[in-house]
Amino acid sequence: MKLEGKSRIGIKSIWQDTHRRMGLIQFIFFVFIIYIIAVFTTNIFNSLAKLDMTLSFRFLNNPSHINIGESLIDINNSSSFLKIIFAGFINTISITVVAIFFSTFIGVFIALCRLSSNWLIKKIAIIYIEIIRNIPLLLLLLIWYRAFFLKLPGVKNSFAMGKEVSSDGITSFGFSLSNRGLSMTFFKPTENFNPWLICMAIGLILAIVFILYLKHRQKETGKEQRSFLYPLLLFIVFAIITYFILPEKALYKDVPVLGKYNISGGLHITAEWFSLFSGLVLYTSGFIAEIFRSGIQGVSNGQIEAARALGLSHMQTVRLVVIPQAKVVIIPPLTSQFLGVAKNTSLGVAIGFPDMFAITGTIMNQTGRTLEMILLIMSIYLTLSLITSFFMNQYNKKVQLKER
Amino acid sequence: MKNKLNPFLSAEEVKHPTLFWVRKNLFSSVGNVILTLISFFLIYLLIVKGALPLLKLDWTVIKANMKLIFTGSYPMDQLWRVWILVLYIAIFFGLTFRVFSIKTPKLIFIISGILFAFCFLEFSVFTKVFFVLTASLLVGSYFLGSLVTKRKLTQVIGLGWVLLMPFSFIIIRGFGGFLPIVKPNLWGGLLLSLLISLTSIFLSLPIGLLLALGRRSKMKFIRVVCTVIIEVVRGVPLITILFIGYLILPMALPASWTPSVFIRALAGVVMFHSAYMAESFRGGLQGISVTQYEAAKSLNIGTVKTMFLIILPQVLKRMIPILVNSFTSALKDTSLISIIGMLDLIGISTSIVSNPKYLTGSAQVLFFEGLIYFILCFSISKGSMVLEKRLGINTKVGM
Repeated sequence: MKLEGKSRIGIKSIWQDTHRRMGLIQFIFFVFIIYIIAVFTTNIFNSLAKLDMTLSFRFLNNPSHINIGESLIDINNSSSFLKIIFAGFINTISITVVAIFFSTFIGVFIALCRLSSNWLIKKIAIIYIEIIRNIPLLLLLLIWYRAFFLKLPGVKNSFAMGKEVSSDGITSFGFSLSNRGLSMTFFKPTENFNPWLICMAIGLILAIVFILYLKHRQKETGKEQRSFLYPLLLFIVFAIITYFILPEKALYKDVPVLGKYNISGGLHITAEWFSLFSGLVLYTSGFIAEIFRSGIQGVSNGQIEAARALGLSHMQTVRLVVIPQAKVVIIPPLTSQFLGVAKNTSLGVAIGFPDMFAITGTIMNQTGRTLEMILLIMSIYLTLSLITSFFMNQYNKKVQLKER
Repeated sequence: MKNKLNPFLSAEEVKHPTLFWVRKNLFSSVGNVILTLISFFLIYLLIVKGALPLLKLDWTVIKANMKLIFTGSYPMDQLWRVWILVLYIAIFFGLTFRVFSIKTPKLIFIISGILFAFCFLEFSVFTKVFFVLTASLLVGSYFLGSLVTKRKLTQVIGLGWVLLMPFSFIIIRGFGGFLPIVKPNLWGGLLLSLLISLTSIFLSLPIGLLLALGRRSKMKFIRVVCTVIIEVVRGVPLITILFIGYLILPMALPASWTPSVFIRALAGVVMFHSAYMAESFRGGLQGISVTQYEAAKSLNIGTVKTMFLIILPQVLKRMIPILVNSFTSALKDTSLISIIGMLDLIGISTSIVSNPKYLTGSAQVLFFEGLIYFILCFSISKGSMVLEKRLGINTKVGM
């Protein structure tokens, strides 16, 4: 083919040689892409110049003068832009992690209900899944926020459990639900928390060693070992015992107290956080339930019958035959759901939850640095999804090798 | 009667079929009894704590704002144009049922029955006339469809659904001289949501196809560019893409041309859906066996011809249910355009509640909109399942 191509010269010969033709097409495509990028960037820089601005990220170090409703890290009015974006990032990540945790549990539970032999519970699960899957997430969030939380009574008349009025007129709650959110009694670390933390770390190391030992024994003897349950129990027992042995208590009970305008103390969950959280959990659990259902139903009946014929118990069949096979099918879509949760937290902007996106939106409004902020937030999300897909691929390789 | 002849049924089942069914499905074991009782309790809670308080709410806010919820601030005297669009959809809906259903479908009569029933509610005469027209066109087109051969009818409905997007734009926006132009900033409510999702599906179809072909191309540069575009768009939340369309696009275009908010929102939604559509196309393309390409090559058919005459027809047929289903996700996703200030179905709820007369109506409006979304998305996804069966595609194996 190469010889043929060399012997003839001219446009026609370039077109007939596959390699040259592909090269030509790619070159034209390359020029086209470069042209478009050039036009767009010059236009963007022109419009920036009109506004007396240049593309620069240096403003990120300036004090922001933005107040954020809630944050897990310490910020104030004079924190830099970078720091409040970081606070938003922490908010996004924390709500994502908690929502993923809960929605997986609820999703599995609903999938089990959906597969139940009980007609009524199956129908309820189906109706739940259908309703959730056919309503936009944004609407769910708005219903939680506007139709539920904002309609609740104020802090003074909140729905409360364990309400106590002490002799000096201070009202405290065990649990309270108002239009400001949820407040409940919570155990918080005292100054003597660190010794217990060290003890827990030791417990964790012990548990890991135990796991490794059990795995080793399973390999040696061929007998099945509960390589996760017992180490977990070991860790929990160790943590409880050391808590009571240590002379100074590591935790203290923090009770929410009604102040003049608000409830202080205890664990306070804002209405925004809780609306976003519950909307995300409701929405995601519906999808996760379907993923699990199709994964479990994908395991052929013959496999289960064969396992039962070999004398495996019902639980053993599930644990050793169904789950390992369903896992391969379930995990890829499950990860994309998890990534979806991280992306969907950006909808918090509609109900005023200060996640990363809402904060960048506020910064855009205040400084007019639209382009910079969008580039920043896109790169953060892309990094997140790249990291996830990297680990995903690693895991997939591992699982698929085991299958063979 | 039938049961008596069935040798696999126990005597008890023949005697008391209902009782047997209840015992088998609800009270077969102790665990099952507990589950049944729990579900009864759940249902009780839902009715007493959930449904009854909802019914007690004042629903006049919906009645008063019906027009806003469905069409936004579309001019009153031009409302008949929206109805024409509804009639168009009704005709092709009836014809589609003629092609794809074996038995006489109950659904079509249920829908027309409901539409007739609406006439007894408090609507204006104008609306009632169109309700009756829609219902009768639905049933009429279903029965008149039998006059034409099925093959021809399939072509007609294919064309009808493809032309739905251009037709709706012509009728809703209007065109020079014949119909007065109604600018997109007057569109709103369900009309806007539907139009944007419909348009985004139609526009993202070719773009998604090109991206998918590019991603599978042997040419490395093209492949890399397409992969990067798809993965970047899929890796970020829709709302960032919408913000790009809304804020960055006007900057990137020449200063002489500033697109309207409608176009900007549409651009964002189209960008987003193209990437997802590309992934669906990639799945569809992967389902085509290599032998098809090889056979085409051995017959000396060029690459482009192979693609358009051999591969794509197969892919598209397989993808019809997926395309129908992607309309539901498009419809759900477009709800986000309310965040950039469009008055779509969700955006309109905010503007209704901001009216001091209806300050307390937010829950009612939101629940009503949820109902609209549910009915639309549920029926479309069920429809796509039926299509999948009728077209004889098993996506589970094929993809």
